[in-house]
Amino acid sequence: MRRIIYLGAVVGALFLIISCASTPPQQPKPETPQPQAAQPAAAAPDAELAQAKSLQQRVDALGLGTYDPEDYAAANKDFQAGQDSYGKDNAASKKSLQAAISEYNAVISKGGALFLARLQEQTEASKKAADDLKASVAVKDDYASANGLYKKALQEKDAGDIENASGDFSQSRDDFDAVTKVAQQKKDAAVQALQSAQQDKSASEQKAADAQKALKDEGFSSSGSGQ
Amino acid sequence: MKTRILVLAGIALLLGAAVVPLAAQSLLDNEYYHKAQDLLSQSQQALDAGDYDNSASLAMQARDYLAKSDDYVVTMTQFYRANGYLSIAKDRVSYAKSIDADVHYKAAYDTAVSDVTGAKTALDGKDYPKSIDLSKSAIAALANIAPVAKKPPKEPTPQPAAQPDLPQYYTVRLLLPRRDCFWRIAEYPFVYNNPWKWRLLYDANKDLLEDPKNPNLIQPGMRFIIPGLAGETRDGDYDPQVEYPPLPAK
Repeated sequence: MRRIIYLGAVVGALFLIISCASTPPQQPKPETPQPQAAQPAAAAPDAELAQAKSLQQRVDALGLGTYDPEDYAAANKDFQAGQDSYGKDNAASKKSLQAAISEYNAVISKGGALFLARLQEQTEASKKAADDLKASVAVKDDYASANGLYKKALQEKDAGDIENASGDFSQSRDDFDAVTKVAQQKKDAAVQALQSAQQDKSASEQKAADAQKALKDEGFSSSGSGQ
Repeated sequence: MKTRILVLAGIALLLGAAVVPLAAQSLLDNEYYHKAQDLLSQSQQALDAGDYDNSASLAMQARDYLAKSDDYVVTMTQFYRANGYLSIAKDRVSYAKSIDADVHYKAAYDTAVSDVTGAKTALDGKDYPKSIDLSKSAIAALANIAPVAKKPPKEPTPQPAAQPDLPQYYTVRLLLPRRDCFWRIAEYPFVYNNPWKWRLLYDANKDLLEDPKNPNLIQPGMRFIIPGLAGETRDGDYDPQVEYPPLPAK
């Protein structure tokens, strides 16, 4: 029995020896950071960045910032913040960019209406100046062209097409101004010609009166016969 | 008083303003002036309608027609003057013929007839300055003719009452308020009984005037010869005490 115990002890010892020899001794772990447990990372807000950038360019191209300075300032601030945090804290970046998009849209909505209203007012003032000079008669074709563009701009404005409406308002305004200038030149020339003709008429009447008086002084008549 | 003067002055101004256009009416009554007026009216209407190019064009056309009207006035003034001188010259030739100037002043008469013929031809040819010169020449040629005393008839017919001859001379008088002038002298029944014949008097006496070109300035005391008009017999000076037979008005 002892033999069995002894043998068992030997085998056990051998087992332990063998097993201990195949396992490297446990070393203390270096201080290099070990990867954490995998967490879901926020995607870069590329779409928001592109949209905000596009809206900013549109607002600046039309100069709408001056018509809604509060929303414009807030939009620029949020857009800058979104760009700054882009790639670092994409969630925060996305949030800022979404705010900027909303604010730029507000600028376009409010400022666009004011911008177009101002352009329309300018165009209508130019049109009135042309109408006062009767440019629709004096410079018929050019006036019709300017007026057609103006009506097109009104339709574009009603459709919310700020870019085309503003372009057409501006162009028709400039066209009306050009038409007015030409009409004024034509009117000045006509007035001058008419005044000269009226002066000629007065001079002709005076010449006839002088001739009539000279005939009378000489004792002659101008009734078709002599004395 | 002031109010009355102002009212009278206003009336005078209105009359003056009305007379000037009336005086020039006949010379301005020509197609060119009327056309110019029409064009000016159209030009104003075009200006009011904004048709500026057309307005300027019409005004320019009006100026062209006014220039033509001016030419017409000049031409017609010359015509009326030439016609008037020719009328006087014809009267003088008629008178000369009536007093047998073709016999007694043959050279002068022939010259006058030739000049009158030339004046008429020039007038018809619209050469008015030449016509005027020839008419004046005819008038001058006959300026000094006077009736030659005729031999008394062999058997004078008895006259119911002796009629004095018409005066050959008239001395300008100061007859206020009616002042003598060629017009009024010619109007006297014993002169021509027709004021429109004043120029005959003026032409015969212009050398007596201080300014021969100014028929409006004559002085009391001037003694004017009265050229015969239609064969009437004239002799001596006008005597206000004599009652002369009136010359038939013509």
